[in-house]
Amino acid sequence: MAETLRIGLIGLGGVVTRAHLPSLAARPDVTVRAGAEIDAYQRDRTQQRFGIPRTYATYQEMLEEEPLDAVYVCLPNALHYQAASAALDRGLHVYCEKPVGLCAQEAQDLAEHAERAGLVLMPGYHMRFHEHFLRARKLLIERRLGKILQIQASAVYSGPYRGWDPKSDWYFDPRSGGVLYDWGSHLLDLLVYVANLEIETVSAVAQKSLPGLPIADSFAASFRARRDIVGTLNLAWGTRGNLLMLQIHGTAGSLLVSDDYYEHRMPTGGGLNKLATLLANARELLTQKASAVLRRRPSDTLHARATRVFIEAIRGEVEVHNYKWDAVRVHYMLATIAAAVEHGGPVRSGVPRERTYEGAA
Amino acid sequence: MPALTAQVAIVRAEDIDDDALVRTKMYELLDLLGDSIQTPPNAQVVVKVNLCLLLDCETGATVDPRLVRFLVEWLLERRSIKEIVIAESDATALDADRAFYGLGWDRVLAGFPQTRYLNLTRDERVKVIFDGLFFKELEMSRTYMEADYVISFAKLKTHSMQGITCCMKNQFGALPEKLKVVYHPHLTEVICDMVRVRPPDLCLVDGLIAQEGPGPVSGMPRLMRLIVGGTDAVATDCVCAHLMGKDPRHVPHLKLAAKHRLGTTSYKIVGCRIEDVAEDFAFIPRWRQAWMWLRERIQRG
Repeated sequence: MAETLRIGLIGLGGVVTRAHLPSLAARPDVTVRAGAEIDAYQRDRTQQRFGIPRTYATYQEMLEEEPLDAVYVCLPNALHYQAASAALDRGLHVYCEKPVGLCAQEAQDLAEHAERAGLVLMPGYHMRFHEHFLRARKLLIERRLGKILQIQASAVYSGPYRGWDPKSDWYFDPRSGGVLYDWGSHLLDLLVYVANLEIETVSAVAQKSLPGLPIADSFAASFRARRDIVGTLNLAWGTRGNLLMLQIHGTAGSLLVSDDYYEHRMPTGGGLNKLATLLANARELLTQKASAVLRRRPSDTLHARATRVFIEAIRGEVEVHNYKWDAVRVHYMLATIAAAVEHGGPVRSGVPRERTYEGAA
Repeated sequence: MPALTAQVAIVRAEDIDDDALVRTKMYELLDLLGDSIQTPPNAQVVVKVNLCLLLDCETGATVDPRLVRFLVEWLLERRSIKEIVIAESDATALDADRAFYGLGWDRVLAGFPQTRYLNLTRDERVKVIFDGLFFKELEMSRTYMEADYVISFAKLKTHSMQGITCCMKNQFGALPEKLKVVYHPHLTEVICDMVRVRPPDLCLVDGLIAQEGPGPVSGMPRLMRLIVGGTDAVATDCVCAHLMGKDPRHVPHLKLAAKHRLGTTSYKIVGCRIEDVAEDFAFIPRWRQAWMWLRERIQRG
C-alpha cells in the first residue's frame, strides 16, 4: 500500500462537497485521486472547486482506470450496494454512506465480502463519533444507569423539504426507504452503538405529512428488546424543529443525550445537578457556536472523525471490524419496523442470534 | 477472640454478564477460603443478604441473587448442610418479603429444596442479654441466633454516614425491627453490637457492581467486577474500604470495632492484590458528612 492513501469518490454530490472532501483535503496522509459523477455540471463544478485530478462519468470507468486504495460510496441509497460490491471486488477498502445496501441481505453480503477479502468496510454512521454519544456509550459500558428499563429515541427534522440540493429528489424515491432509512438508520445505529440494543419485536404506524408524497415520512414504533428493555422510536421529516435524541432510563439513573444536549439524571443532587447540567450544556453550545463562526475546523467535524477512523483502520491502527456488523443489525431492525408498519401488528425481528456484536472501541 | 491475622480473598470476574464465569469465580473465592469455612455437620446456615430497598443489584444497592445461588450450590456440594435460610429483615422503607419476591429471589433459588427464605422481622424472637456498646438486651430472630453458621452477604458500597457499608453494616439489617432509622444517631455503636451479638462466620461482599457517592441507596453504580470474602468481618471490611480507596481508620464502625477487638485489622490477601483492583470511589463531600455528624450529635442531645 502506498504511503499516501489514494482515494476515489463515487458520487460528487452534497455529502461529498459538504463533508468528505473538506475532511480528506485536511489530511496529509491521503490523496483524492479521482471522482465519478453522472451529472456533468456537478462533476465539473466539484472537480474545479476541490482540484480533483481526474473525474469520470461512471464509477465503473473510474475503478477500471485508477490505481486506488479506497473509495467513498456517496450515491443515492438504492445504488450503494452495487458500487460498494464493485469496489470490494477490486480489492478496495470502502467507506459507504448509510444505509449500507437497501436491505439486511445486501448489508450482510457486503460485510461478508469485506470480511473474506480482509478489507475495511466502514458504514457512514458518523453520529456515533459525536462526543455526547461516545460519553453515553461509556456510561452504559460502565453500567452507571443500572438495569436499563426504557429507551425513547427520536429523530425529527425538516428532511429534504427545504431543498438541500436540486438533486435531492431521490430521497422521495420509495426504493431509498424514506425517513426510515435516512435518519432512522442513524438513530438505530446510535441505539446499537450506545446501548447495544437488539430489538426483538416491534409494532409501528406510519403516515404521510403531505397528501401527495409517495412515501410515509412520519413513523412511530414501540419495541421490546433483549434484556427486557422496552421503548419507542419516533421519526419524521417535515418538522421545523430539529431533534436527534436518546432518552435511556435505568434503575439507577436516566440519560438524555442529543447532539446538543447531555444530561445524566441521578437519584440525588436535585437542583444543584440540574444547574450544573444547564451550565455545562450552555457552555458547550456557546463554545461550539463561537468556534463555528470564528473558524471552520474541517479536521474536527463528525465526518472528519469518521474519515480518521476509516484511514486508521485501513492502516491497521484501529479495529472497526464490528462496525459493518452493526450496520447489518441496523438493517434487520429497519426491516422489522417496515414490516410492522405493513403488517399492522407486532413483528418479530429476524436478526440472527448467533452473531455477537460487541462494538469495537 | 478474633484471629491475629485473617485471610481475605478477592476475585475478579471480567465479564459479569457471563453466568458461567461468575459461578466459576464464586467457587474460586470459596475454594480460596477453603478450610476456614468450617460448617459443622448437618449445619443450619443463615445467609443474611442485603436487600435494603426494592432496587435490583445493577443499581449497586442490593446483592446479586446469582452469587447467593452459587454460594448455595457450593455449600450443598462441598459441605454437610441441613438447611440454608436466606434472611433479611424489614427496614424503615422496605418490606423484606416484597423485596425478596419482587426482585425475583424466589425464582433464582428455586430448585433447592434445602433452601428457604426468612423475613427476620416475622420470625420468633429470642431475648439476648449482653454488654453491648449501645444495647444491653436485644430481641433477635431465633433462627438467626440459633443457626450453626451465619454468613453475611453484603454489597460493596459507600455510606453517607459511615463512609462505607459492607459486612459489618449488613449485620445492622439483622436487627428484626422495622424502624431501624431510630438507631441512626447511634449507628456506629449499634453496628458493633450487631456484630458482637452474633458474629458472622463467613463474610462475603458482592462487588460486581458496587455503589459510590451518596450510598447506600442513592449513589451511582460502579462496575468493579469483584467478589470479596473472609471469615473476619472487620478484616473483610477493612479490605473493602481499601478497594474503594477509603482508609479504614476513617470508617467509624471499623475504628470502634478494632478498638473493642470485634475482629482484626491484620489480614492476608489471597487472590487478586488490592493495588491491582482498587479504585477511587466518590464519597459524599466532607461538608455534608460534617453536617450529618453535627445533626447526629444534636439528635443525641
